[in-house]
Amino acid sequence: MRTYVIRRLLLLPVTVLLLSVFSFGLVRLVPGSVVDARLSNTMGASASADPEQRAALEAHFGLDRPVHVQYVNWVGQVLTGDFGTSWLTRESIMDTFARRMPVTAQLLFLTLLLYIPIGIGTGIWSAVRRNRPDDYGIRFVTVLFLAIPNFWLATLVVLIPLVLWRYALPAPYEQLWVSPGTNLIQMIVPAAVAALSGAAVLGRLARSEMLEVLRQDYVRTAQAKGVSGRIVVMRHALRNAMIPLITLIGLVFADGVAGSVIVEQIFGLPGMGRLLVQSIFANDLPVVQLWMLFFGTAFVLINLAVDLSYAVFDPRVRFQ
Amino acid sequence: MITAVGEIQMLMIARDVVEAFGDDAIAGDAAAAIGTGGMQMVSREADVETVLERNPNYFRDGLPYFDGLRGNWNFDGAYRAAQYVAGDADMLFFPWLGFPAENEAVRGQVGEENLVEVPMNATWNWVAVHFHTKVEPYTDPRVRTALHLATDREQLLVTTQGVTEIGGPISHAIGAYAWTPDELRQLPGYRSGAQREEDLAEGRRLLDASGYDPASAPPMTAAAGYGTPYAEVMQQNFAEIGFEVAVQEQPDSENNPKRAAGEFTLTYQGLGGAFDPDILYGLSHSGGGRNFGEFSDPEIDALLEQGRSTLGLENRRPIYDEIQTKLLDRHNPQLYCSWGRPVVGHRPWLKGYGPTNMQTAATYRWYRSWFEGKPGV
Repeated sequence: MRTYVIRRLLLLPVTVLLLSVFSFGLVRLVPGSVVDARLSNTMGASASADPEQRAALEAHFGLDRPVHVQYVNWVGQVLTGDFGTSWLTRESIMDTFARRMPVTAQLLFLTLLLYIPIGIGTGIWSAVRRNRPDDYGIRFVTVLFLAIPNFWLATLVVLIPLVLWRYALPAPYEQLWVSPGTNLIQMIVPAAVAALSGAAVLGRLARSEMLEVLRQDYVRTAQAKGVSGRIVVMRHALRNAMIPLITLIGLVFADGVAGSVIVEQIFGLPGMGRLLVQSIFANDLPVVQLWMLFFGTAFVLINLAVDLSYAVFDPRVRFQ
Repeated sequence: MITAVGEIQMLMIARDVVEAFGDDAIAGDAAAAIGTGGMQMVSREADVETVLERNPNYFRDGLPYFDGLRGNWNFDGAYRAAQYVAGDADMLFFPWLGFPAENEAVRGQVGEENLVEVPMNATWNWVAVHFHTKVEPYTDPRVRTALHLATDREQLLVTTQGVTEIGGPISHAIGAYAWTPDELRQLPGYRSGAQREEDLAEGRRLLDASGYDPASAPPMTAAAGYGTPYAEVMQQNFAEIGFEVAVQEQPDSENNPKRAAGEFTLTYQGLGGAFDPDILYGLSHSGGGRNFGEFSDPEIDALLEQGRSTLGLENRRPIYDEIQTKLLDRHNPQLYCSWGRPVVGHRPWLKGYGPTNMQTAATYRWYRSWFEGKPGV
């Protein structure tokens, strides 16, 4: 176990390094640049007509240097704790992240808080009550939420209360520590929207895993011994069904981050997802590449935690 | 010049701040600006929120009436409409020029009496096609004029979902110099019905006379998404006179710089900003900064130079009439199609708000706005 953990941790810098290359390179594949955008949009001038201005802007943004030099400089800055400034707002990127991150972190936390009990709960219920009306009902609802794109669901959630009761979620966004009540109302609905489609996937998987486990001999033995149904399910069956579910729960982080791009936009939440959209539109490369590096690294760490948690749920796992 | 200086994008910066920090350090930093307007910045989160407060040193005594303003920005139309309908916002800047269908939906929810629509001056988002006049077949003004005659402006209006008005070289928001949509509808290229058939016939004749090779036209590029529907309409219009051209989509981030660099042959794209007829200098003078297609004509150059050096509306108007006539009849370095028609809506208790002649739709006459009869105030 220890060797496995050490090996994974040693691989971490290599993974993050590759991630940094990917983040840096990918944003530069996008056509156009901040210089072109500034020259053609802001100045209203022909870019080719003013090479001096173009050169000055390229020098200002550090784009006049070879790409590999730009990359090395960027990595050097990140390693020394200098995350740079936004080309759009001229603000320190870390300050921006510090302001935006709590919003997305809270959204992800609430999403997980709803996602896991809803997903696993419906899966267990559906498996235990197999082929009964409530099982059919749950399966119908889970398939429905699988089929509904979350941007459409989010729009419906905004519009239906509006049309029926003239109600809209409070706006603009209030921070949790400033106005907790308003904040929770603003956050719980987007979190539910983000959680529901993921929970539907988790519910379907939990149902099939539980059905598989419930057919096992040891479960039948436990039932034959007169162990109560709840203990059979929660203590004997669920634990063995958890391994694939944990993998899925680990993946929900990536889903949640990707979903936040849409959900934050529709619900007016000033989080990291909305920042990404804004930065992409503005060719704000420093923000986009740091965003990708940041969440990529977080995803790697979460998956490491997921891998390690296998041993907790299944002692047979020894990470040989 | 005076209008340009008064634009909302023009910030007045203290000289000692510029000297201390340099142009670059303060550019875009609203905190470095010396505000002369009615409101001053308290905080701003790009694309999220702007908070303004009353400028205590405002030069107009007793104004503004508001102590402050809070703007909540979101491009999602449903979210913004919801805030307005639910009564959480007093004003709604309709998304992207104000789609009539969306206005209708909001009006249906809140009632006619609760949505005061304020049409802004159509000074931005000129929907236009730029020809590169140094690239075949657009070197020949007969080809460009033929395509001008073939373009169905009324069909384009439908495609833009009513957010634009038919426009000529000069936006009709610059009322004294521009030709109105009704005036334009009398001109070749803007006409409907039987007269459009005459225009199409003339277009075919010009195209034949130019010796245009149907297989020679390189594709028309258009900004992916918003530009494509308009480009496709024009593609159909051009085909009516036998001019076949493919539409090639490319991202705005690619299309815009390429247009600016002159790397195009025929490109569809909006172009913002018009508060004086001198905008035509940039677009059509051989040395103009927005003359992306390198159009050059000594006569037009001379007239544009005359226009910008002549004072007085009555003296300038004939010059710009002549320029517009010549551009539409002979040259057509761009296809002039339409100007945006942005609309904002507000609750009836907001008084004193009105459009200005500024470049952008979101014009701010907050200094003289006030609430009258707002519940709870």
